[in-house]
Amino acid sequence: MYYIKLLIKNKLSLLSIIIIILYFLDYILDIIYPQYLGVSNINNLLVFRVKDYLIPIAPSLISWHLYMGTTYYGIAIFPAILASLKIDFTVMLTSLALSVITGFFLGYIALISNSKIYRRAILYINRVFFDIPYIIIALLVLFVVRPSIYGIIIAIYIAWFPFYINRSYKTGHKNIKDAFMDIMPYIISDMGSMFGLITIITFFGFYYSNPFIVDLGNIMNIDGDVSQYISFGDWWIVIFPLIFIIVFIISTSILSYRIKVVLNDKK
Amino acid sequence: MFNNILKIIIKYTGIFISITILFFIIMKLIPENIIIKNYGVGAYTNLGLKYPFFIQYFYFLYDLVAGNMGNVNIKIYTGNTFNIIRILLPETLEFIIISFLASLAISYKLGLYIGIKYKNTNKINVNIFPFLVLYLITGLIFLTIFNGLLGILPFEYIISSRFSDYSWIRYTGYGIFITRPTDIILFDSIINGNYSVLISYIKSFIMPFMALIIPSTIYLTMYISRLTSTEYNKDYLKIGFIRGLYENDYIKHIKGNINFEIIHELRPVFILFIGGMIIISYIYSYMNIGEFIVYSFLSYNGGFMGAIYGIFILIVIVLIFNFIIDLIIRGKKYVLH
Repeated sequence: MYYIKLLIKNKLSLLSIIIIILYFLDYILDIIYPQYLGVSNINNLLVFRVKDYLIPIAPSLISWHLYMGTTYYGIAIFPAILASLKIDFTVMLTSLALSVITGFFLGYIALISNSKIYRRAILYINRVFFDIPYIIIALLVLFVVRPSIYGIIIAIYIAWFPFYINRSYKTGHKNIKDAFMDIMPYIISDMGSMFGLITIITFFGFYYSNPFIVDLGNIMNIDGDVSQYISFGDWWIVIFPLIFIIVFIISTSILSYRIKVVLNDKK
Repeated sequence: MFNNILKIIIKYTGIFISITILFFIIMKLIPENIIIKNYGVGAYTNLGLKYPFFIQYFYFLYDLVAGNMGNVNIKIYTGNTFNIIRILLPETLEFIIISFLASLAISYKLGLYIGIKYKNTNKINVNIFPFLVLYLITGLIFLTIFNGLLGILPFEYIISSRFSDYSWIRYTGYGIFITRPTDIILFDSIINGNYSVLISYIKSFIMPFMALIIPSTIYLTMYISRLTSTEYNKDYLKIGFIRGLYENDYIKHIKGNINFEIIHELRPVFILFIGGMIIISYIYSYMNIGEFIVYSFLSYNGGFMGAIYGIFILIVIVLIFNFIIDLIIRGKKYVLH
């Protein structure tokens, strides 16, 4: 509670908290009440089709569905973006939770353990992972486990948990609560980073069961069909999804930084 | 000195072997029939599949180092894996070296300038990880603006396919050009005196280049300006100002003291940069190993050997870079300010 009070005193961190809360509220709505988007379920991008023809329509104020225009297949971008959090946040939160739990405990055990061999082994494995760009590890794992929602969760989890080993070990705190508090800023900023990584993976087109998966990266790609329209000057089909993701990433980065500052001030 | 170098060599040999073991484990996790299908003719013998796992690893290691990685059958290329990597490597290296050096030079100048001008030590110290998505953002925004809206820059392929008629250029389709004598279009167009190809290349180069350097430049500029401000506010410089220290002198002191930390930070930045290159190359269909890796991953039935070998080459580039950084700092202890 003390930390929260300190955080909301700063206008920038208050704004970040509000934005992050709004994203999470949207995520919860996507799960429990998708009808707010005017559809009964959000399992497929095609449910957001407002026109029968394929060519994108520019943003207009006729209906709220068209505020951000449509993309390929006449899919309205605004509701599709709002709905994309259902999959993206589920994947992000699951991978993040798994990475934090595994990485934190492996690092923490290395810190408190008397076994030099275990400590060296775990840090060495960690070092190997640090020399490979995390996107490459994610893609490699994805190739093995095959692209699906579960596949993406496993891929991001394996690419990410070594960072938490390092972070947890570097805190130097033998008190588990203090150690966890020290990695808190990373957890917040990783929400943004992982959201970004999921978007990149799906932008590449790594799915095979559902080419109309409701995901932010896929909205900007749709089986590679979107790029031709970007070159025709249909700017809205990528700019709005990009703004949507960058607002979240900036908010998590600012909040993460502010938490770090508050924790350092307390020390 | 010699001991330090030896330690660094041993360290990187260990990391190299560990990475190859990791690759081998990944390969063994894929069904054998898919591997045989991916590798093509000679898979069973060349990969030593009839032997126990332990022996198979050495077959795999030999194949990896010798470039004996079978075939790929993906959207942009069908043929021998080693051949395509050999074609793509010079262009990849050129793209990485030019872009990274440009990013470093710009951020160094800009970071020093901002750090000295604003002298604010309370600058945001952000995590490097979210910067990867910035490559997707810059890539798509430049594409939308310069190609889509303004129509002034081409976005597909490294040069226009209409140049495939020249005797020194061979076009294999899907944006892959083989040029002679160096396999680097920039140099080959100059050597062959063909400036229309050179101009086409430069036009295609501008957008991927800008999209690639901006995220790392932003991060490094923030990092360097923070270091510079911190250094500027130190007591020894304050005393120097009282004694009438000239601008050139204090800049020299600041540079001398922050360079070590900048070099240290280049390792994660370069790893991020390589990840960014993969994204940018895919967005622009820009001929290099990054684009090749993504297309290889997208093809389960024909891309594994291409993906694993392409990644292996990129990781070797990262390891060489890290090795050089370690040699420069020669194992000195990193001191946090």
